[in-house]
Amino acid sequence: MVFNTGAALLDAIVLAVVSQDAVGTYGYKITQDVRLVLDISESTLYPVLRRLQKDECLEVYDMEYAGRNRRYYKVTEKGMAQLQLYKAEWKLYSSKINRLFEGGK
Amino acid sequence: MNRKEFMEQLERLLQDIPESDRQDAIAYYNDYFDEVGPENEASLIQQLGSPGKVAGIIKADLESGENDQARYTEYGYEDGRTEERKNPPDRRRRGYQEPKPRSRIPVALVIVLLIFASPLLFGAGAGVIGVLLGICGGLLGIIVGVFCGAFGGLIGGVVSIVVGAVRLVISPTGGIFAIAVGALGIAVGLLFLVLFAWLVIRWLPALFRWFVDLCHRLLGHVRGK
Repeated sequence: MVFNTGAALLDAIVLAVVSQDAVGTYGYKITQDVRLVLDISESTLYPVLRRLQKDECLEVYDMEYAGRNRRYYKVTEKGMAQLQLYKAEWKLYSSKINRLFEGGK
Repeated sequence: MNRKEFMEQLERLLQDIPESDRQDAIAYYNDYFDEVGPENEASLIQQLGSPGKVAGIIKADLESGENDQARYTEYGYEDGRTEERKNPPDRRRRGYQEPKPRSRIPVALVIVLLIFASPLLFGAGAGVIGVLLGICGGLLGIIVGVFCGAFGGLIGGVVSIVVGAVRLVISPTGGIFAIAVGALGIAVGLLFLVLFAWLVIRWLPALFRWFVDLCHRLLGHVRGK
């Protein structure tokens, strides 16, 4: 892709992906879901998830799955508020650029 | 390299980060290997790259706590400073070109116009040169004419006076008439001489200067175009 995805946009995408599962989702699935829209490498998301966790936008819990522990990520209330902010910003940003590109006033 | 080797190398490379951070990362990637299953282990290792690359991404994140230029992109961790290198070649590959400054008048068009207009330009140029030469010739003619008039008047006057003086003895009336005509001729000759001198001294340099000035202006005009 020509356009770089900045840290904020990547945070927003990850928050949006995680928020789709009310009970939370796990690292591998998050990566695969993000990869549906962004061509990222398998190793890109770990630091992002970790940072969102540190910022208290994501919370983690371990749950047993198929005889082993699986770490689940869930969006916190703070994370939800952050996601709403990102969505509003993105709407404004993308509509301005769309308007410019499509030539309308 | 198999999963065990990969994870061992990763753990070793993360020796210098805090214990909790290391355990967190190791747990995450162990989880990841569990998810893909043993059958996809090799392809996951290939996609992750080397343990060094994965460790580098983890460490870069820990170090860049307040670094605003750092960002994660689909290329992995990137710094604002390294980004510039990635974009320009990409743009060129996609056919992006720096706009070239265009000359205001296309050279080819000017040449074609000059070729088509050459008979007209040549005719006009020859006409102008002809007019200038005509004026010069006319002025030269006037000057030569005035000089000859003066010369003829003086010579004629002197000759007429001499002839009149000789005739005076034979025919007083004819002699006096000839002397009078001679005097008139000298007067007219002197008048022309004065006119000639005035033309040569006052008018010729002025005319010459005007002509040179005109040529300069014409040439300058052509060059200016």
